[in-house]
Amino acid sequence: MEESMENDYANLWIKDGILYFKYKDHVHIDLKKSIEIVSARLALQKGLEYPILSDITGVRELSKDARSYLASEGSVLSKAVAFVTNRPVSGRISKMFVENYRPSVPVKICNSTEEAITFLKTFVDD
Amino acid sequence: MIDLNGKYRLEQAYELLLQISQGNFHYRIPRSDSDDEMEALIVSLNMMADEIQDSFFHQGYVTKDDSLLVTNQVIIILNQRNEIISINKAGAKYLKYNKRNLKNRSIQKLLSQDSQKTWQQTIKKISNNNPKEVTIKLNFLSKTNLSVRTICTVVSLKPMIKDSNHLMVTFPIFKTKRAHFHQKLRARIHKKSNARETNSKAKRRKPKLTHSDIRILQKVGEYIRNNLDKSLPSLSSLALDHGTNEFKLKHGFKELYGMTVLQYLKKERLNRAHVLVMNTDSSVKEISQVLGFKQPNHFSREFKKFFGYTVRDCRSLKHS
Repeated sequence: MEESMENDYANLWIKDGILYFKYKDHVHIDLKKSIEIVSARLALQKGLEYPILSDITGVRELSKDARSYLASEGSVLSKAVAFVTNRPVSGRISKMFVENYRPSVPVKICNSTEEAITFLKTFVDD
Repeated sequence: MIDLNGKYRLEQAYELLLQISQGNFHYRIPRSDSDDEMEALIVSLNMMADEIQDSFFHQGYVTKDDSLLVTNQVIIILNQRNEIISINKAGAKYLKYNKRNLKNRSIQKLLSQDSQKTWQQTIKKISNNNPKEVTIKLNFLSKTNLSVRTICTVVSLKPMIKDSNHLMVTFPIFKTKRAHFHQKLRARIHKKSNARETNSKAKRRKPKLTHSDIRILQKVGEYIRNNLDKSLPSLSSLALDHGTNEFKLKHGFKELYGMTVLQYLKKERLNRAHVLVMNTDSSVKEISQVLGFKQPNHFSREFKKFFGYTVRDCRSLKHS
């Protein structure tokens, strides 16, 4: 079973029941890309729900359309999402996204992968 | 030491705030490659402008109330070298320039870096005469160095005017309802004879929603989005749970979202179903259950009605 994949914007893999989604550097996400991103994630998930660790350090822009899409359709088959970033730009983008769009699953913004894993572990199936 | 670049970006931030305070929501600050606190502030300001502009433009609230109106058009005529030979007065004003200062200036100097690339590609296509007219997204830079996102139509005038190598670039100018309201008010004051008619129109208008009404209605929207799998409680208990009444919920929701509560629920369910249909192998039965449809065939019918194609069409595209 395929457990990892790569596209123009991100690397995705599943490890210990968590889906890791690491955006590449200098990614500007618009609606078209956000649809492709969700599609890639769901292809890897094969119909199963996962907690998602989304490392958005490399994200430089998230358009209005993309914010709206990711908050509603984008949360399909996700149990919870942890956004990881320690950079100012992606930090602000994720904060505004979470505050304004209130995705329909539990969400946390984390400074490190470790913090994110601790948060997501509670959502992993035994 | 004074950080000149930092100071410049700070000035741009102030300029954007000034424009927003005047009801001009279409400006944005051009982005740089930095990843510092100043850039984070700029990203936040740009996103704020998106949100404000969108809440005026898309939310139904506004479209219905004409809060953002197309009031004029920017029209630019270019020569063969892409230099401006003419721009209309309203257009120059929109870009914060004096009409005279734009004459003979290359249009590329008015575009952001990304848009310069888009422009060059477009010009190549048009100079091959294929097509003669294109619509592209361009970011113009105002004199105050804010970027103005536009959807431009670029037309070669060759087919219309013999031997002409000129191009016409045009995009709409939006104005907020408030600005338009003031303009109308001025006209009313000058034309007292029409005052009675305008007054009677104003009386027929629905009462406005207050900020707290809007907050409550947004919470209801959020509740619906987060509970797509469950059947919706009655409007009266939904209203009660959110601290409002059925009348306000019914009428206010429609005014804010441009659709009824049930239509909104259906739209959200179907949009998510679409993602599952396109990207998973879950059966129609499973998808319809997950998204709160009582019967799979009811779901299939609604899907077809909403998107204009069937679940099966969608799936066959996925596997092709």
